[in-house]
Amino acid sequence: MATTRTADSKLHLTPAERIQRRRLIVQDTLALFGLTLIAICTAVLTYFFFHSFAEHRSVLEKRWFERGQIAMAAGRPAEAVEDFRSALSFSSTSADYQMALAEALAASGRTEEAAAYFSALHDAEPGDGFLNLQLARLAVRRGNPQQAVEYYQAALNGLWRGQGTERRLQIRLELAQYLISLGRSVEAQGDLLAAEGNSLDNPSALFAIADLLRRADDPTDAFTAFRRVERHGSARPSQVLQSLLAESQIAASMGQYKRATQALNRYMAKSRQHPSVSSPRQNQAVEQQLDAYQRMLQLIPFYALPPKQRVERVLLGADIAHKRYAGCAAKLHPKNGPSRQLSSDDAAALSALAAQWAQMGPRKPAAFAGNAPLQQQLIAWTNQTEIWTAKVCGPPTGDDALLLQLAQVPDKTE
Amino acid sequence: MSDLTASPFSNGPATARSPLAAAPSPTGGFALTDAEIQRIAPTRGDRLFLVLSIFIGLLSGLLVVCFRMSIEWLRVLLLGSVPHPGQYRLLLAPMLVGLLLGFMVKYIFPQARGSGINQTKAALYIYNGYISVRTMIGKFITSALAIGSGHSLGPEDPSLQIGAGIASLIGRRLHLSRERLRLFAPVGAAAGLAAAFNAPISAILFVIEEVIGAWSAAVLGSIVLAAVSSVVIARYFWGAQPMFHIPPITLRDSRELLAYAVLGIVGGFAAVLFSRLLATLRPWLRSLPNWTQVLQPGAAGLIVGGIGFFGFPQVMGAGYDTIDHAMHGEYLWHVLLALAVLKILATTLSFSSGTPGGMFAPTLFIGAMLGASVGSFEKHFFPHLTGSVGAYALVGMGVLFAGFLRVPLTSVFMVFELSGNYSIVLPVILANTLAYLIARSLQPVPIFETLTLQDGLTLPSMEEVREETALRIEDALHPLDGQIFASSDPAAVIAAKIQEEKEDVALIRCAGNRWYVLPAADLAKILQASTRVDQPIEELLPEDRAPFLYPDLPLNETLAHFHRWPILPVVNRAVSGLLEGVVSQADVLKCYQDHAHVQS
Repeated sequence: MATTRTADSKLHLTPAERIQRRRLIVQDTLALFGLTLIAICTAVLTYFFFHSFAEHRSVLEKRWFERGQIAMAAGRPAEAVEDFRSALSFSSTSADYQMALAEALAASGRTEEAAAYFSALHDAEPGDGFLNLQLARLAVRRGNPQQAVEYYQAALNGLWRGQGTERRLQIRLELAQYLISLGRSVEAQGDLLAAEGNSLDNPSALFAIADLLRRADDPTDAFTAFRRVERHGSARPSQVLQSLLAESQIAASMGQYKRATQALNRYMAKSRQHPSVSSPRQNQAVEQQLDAYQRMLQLIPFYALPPKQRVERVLLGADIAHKRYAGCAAKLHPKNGPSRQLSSDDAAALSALAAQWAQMGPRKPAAFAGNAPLQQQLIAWTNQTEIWTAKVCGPPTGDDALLLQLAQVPDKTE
Repeated sequence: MSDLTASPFSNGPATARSPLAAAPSPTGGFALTDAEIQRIAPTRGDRLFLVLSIFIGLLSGLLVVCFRMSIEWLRVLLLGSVPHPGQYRLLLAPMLVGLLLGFMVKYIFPQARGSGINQTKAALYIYNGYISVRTMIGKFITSALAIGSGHSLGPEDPSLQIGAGIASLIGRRLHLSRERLRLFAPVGAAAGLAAAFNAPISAILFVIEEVIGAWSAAVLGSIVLAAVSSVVIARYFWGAQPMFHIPPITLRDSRELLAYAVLGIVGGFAAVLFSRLLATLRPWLRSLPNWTQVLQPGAAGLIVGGIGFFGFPQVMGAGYDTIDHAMHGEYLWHVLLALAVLKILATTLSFSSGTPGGMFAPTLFIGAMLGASVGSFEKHFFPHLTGSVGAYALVGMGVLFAGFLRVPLTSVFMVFELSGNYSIVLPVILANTLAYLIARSLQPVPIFETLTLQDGLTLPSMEEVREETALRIEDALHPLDGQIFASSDPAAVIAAKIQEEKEDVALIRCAGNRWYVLPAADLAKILQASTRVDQPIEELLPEDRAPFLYPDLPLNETLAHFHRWPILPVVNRAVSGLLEGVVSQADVLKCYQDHAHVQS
């Protein structure tokens, strides 16, 4: 009241005007109060109206979403796309619906649209592991390796709600597989070794890692990883047998036939322990392979052998190769029927080999004893002969086949 | 009868004085005129204006929420939860509702026709801010029915008018002055639009650009308060997320702006096409016999429904879902182009037939489809472009908004607010500017102005108001011909000098770098009053001094002072007391005349 009185006196109002002014203030207060009441009533009505409206929409959106899920489960992603889209029209901001629609779009091959949806979701949650993984897969489909690797890395570092370790391992394997397919084996090796370090207690993962390491041109680490599977206490017998087979193959590819033989021997022992896991046919194949490796070990002129024995092996190999050459040359001779037309290179190689073998003359052990360069030259001729005859006269068999294998990796073997 | 020419008072309280001046009070028989209220409570208007702005915002927000819900309900009820081509209801619903609307608009709510923007402008400039309750209710019902049944119109412009109607109602009930009541219309309009768009900045800018035409400090605070209040309400119900979601855009190569420039050019031509179709079809439909007016919304509904029935239900209604789908690259470029063309046709038909509803949503739809189409096309032939289809769609919305509605500033901010994405700023500005310039050069009269002219009204052109060249004092300024006298100079010396030089006035520099302009005629009186020969002139001059005027001030600032001063000294802002020149009333008038001549 004091304030009003001060204002009245400042305005020089007459008593009648003062009364009018006070009535005006009361009137305005009442009007504002009335407006407040109206606003509250309108808000309450709007709230109930909205609530009813939202419930109805919720029913509709759930119905469409369920239809979409059923369609997806039944392998009809195109139909699911329409259903999820209808659900989204009632709840355009629902991340679940957007995710479902994006997955359905991706499943139905509509990569660009799926990427757009996933990108929008990713924008809201850039650290979400699942979204990054989906975007990585879409980038793979769209042939964008740089983006794909970035998204894979983001998925690895992203947030996973539950089973984070397993998910990250799966993503690392997927990334490694992708890198191998791109020919970026060295990068893949890094990821695989990191994954191996985190999977020592998981034989299945170790097996997958070992397999990928082998594909990533890292036989040494692949061999070690398969060895870990073999020795893992909780590895399934089938995994152990497969690991032993892989070990033998890797060892052989590295020229380590002793290791390869040992692995196959362990395979045979293990398969006898678990006859239900390996088939007789497979065992038979393994036995044949084992025989081959053992024969290989008898043919290889190891440096570690006593000099006499090494010379004998060098000469044995040369004899086998020379017979193969002689047979092949006879086959190519015009007298023995219509011969195939040799290319100029093959003809030159044939002449060179003929000259070499003629120059060599009779191969007496005494001539080679203590003459390492001559032994080496003979080994080289043997290798050249096996490679050339295989090319011209077809794949060899028996010892020639074994010598050919050695010829193809001479440095490793030696 | 046209949309706007019918007096809005025909449905409201027709009082001889004003609907607000001496209306009976809700609290009793006490009544006061504007002058009386101003006398006894001079600050009442200002205070109430701000408080009521908040109420206007709250109530507008609530009503707009209800309005949009009504549209959604009606859509589900009339067209089904997910309309598909081949459903007969797509043909029937818009046609039957159109017939009902034709009747309602003709006989019950004649003021509900049109989008609502021009009606609000008419309320502001012609009807002292008066929008009847019947108009407001009519707009709510008829627009909800039209949009819900699939007519190709949007809810934003009606929301704007509903907000303005609420403001008008509140202002009338509170017996605000005529001036305040007039200003309330844009305040309510901003609130309604902000709630409909969930975009307060765009709503404020639109009202300033299109309704008021200039930045006005008198209403800016109230507009902001109302817009913010209404958006708070809208976000409580609808959520705070932006209307569209697209990933951030990285413009890796500035040459990619060329791709957006192409979109700006295409959008500019599309805006012109859309405007010309509307400007042609609407008056032609109105020129048809009177009885056809009732049938026209029904016929338009049948055609629009036919478009939906035969394969493109996306063009029906506001179409925000379709915009969202287009942003996610769900359509091929030729489908998008077809949707843009069909939407132009459908909207032109719906709007020209007199069906109530707005142009904002269709404009955004057409822009988004065009943008996505151009984006898809360009990405197909130039796959190295990094912008997503969503980005092009978003820029396309701004482009058409700038070109068709001719609100360049609003169009830029609208894109930001609708997407919550500021990374797109450069493409938006470039494309919008191009579209705006093309549309302006090919279609000099903006569409809203064309529509008001068709209705027989002449509302101020906001584009012209914005671009009006303001004359400044420097335009009329000329150097002083005569001499400057010091205040210490004796009056007799000044008189002699004036007489010798035959000057009309003497310009005297007084203390504190103030100036006095002494007419030669007054000098004789001053000399008579002097007591000694060497008495300084300052001792004889009256106390008042010439006003401080600077060259950059608007020229009209001078007009108030010529009744006191024959010429006005204009001084430098930086160097106090430095005279830049003088202006006379004749200089000012000549300047205005020359300007008018150049303009004409």
